[in-house]
Amino acid sequence: MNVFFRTFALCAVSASAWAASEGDAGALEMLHRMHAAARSLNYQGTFVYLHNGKMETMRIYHRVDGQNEQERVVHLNGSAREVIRKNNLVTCILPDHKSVLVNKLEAAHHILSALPNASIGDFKQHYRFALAGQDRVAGRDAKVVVVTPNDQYRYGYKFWLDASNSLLLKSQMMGEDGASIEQVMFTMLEETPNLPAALLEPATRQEQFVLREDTSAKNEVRNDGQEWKVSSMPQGFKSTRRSVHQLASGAAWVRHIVLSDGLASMSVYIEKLEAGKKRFIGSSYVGAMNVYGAVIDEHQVTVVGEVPRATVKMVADSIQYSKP
Amino acid sequence: MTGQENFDEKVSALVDGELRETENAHAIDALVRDIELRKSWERYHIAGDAWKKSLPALPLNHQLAERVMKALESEPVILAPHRISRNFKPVLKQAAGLAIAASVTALVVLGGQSWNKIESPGSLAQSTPASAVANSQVMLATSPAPVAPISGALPNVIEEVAQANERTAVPDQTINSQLHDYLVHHNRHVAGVHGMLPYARIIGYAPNEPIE
Repeated sequence: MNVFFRTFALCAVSASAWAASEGDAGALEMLHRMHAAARSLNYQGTFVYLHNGKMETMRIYHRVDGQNEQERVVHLNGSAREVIRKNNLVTCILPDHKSVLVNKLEAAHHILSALPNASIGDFKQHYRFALAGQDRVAGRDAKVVVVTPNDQYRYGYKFWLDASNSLLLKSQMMGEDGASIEQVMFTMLEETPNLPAALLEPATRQEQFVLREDTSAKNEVRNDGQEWKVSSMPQGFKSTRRSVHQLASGAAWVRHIVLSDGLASMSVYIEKLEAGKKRFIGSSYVGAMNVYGAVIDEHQVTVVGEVPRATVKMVADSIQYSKP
Repeated sequence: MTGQENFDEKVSALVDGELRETENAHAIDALVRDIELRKSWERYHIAGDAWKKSLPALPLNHQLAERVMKALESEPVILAPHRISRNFKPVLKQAAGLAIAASVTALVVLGGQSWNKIESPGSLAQSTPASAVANSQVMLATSPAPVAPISGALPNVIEEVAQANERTAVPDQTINSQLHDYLVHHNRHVAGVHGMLPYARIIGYAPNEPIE
């Protein structure tokens, strides 16, 4: 992580020297620092998550210990849900569903981890990055970065970073009319160099819970489903992963394709329709996530992602099946 | 049909509170007169009210708006809606009548076994306003089911609405669960711009909460 960061710092200096817009490069560099800080510092905080007019409070703990990186997000109101990540193993504890979901996280494929392979030029086509002054959040001085999409197929973002350690203090996802559709805001955030390991352990007792392990990591067949094609997606999106999953134990196998432009992502789920199985056609949404369903060649195709409705619809309508 | 489309857009904008004052008066005036537009009003108010959690399960009845409107029409209209004036009370009174009719209808219609196909350009094309109180339940889009008629005039309707509030809505649980699984799965497997946001979504989204 440190080597990565140092190498990046060198790249960033040369990048900003030749970048057409220094503002763009400076803003992107700040986001990279934010990402690096989030992965490498020990901290804990309380934040508010706003979506759909609903307000949730959560707590986050992050600890780095030698080779291991851990984080834990806990629901403070309502059901005591938790998500715990240790390196790339993610565990979701859902007491209200009496279930524990475990899965391996693929290597992150957003732009902030794509360095040093991605040049600023790749993303300039689809987003503009700009510094937007200063502010104050959770009692700390913050610098503001605005990310604006160049088309209507993506959402925009606004980030407030701690001026001293670059940790994220506040973020907003902006909808098509500039309104905030999802927001995270810390009310308390502190670096805690000696964060106790116990804080990264789950608080809920999990006996009696059903363990649902995502077996796709074991049974994954890469490049399976070549006969299913996504014929149309907004520029800059790429298929980054294709696999097969059982979303619940005993459930049908579902093809899963991930599409990403480096910042936003979509998942395509393709499931064979058995007789009597209900279909979902048309659009829906939950907060910042849009969903679009279509029936293609006796399969239920569902596209979900943190992108506008037009985008999930475009992708779903373009899915094609061709016999090999 | 550009005239119709134009009015449909105005109805949609009226529902979302986006029309300017003069257009407001004009749109309301047209609504009172045009039965087709009244049905539009029904549709958009249903779409708008779909964001709210508190809608009970009731059988669908598309004639309801008309019966309620008929009952309200017997009330005196105080001022001509075309007048451009700072004092909007009479226009508001008429609008309120419509709003009552539309929202009573919305209460009856929504929460039934089937949901409207949410695809009309006027309703969901715009992003959700930050102030919208949205349902944490995932909305469905399936083809409409047959309608069970509600008999009786306005007073009965209000009674039925009152009774219905005691029941819990039963949207299609199978589809709801399926969509929840997809959403959680997506957020479990995809890293966001900052690591915590997908986790906040998993935690914040609880589809099987009882409707209040």
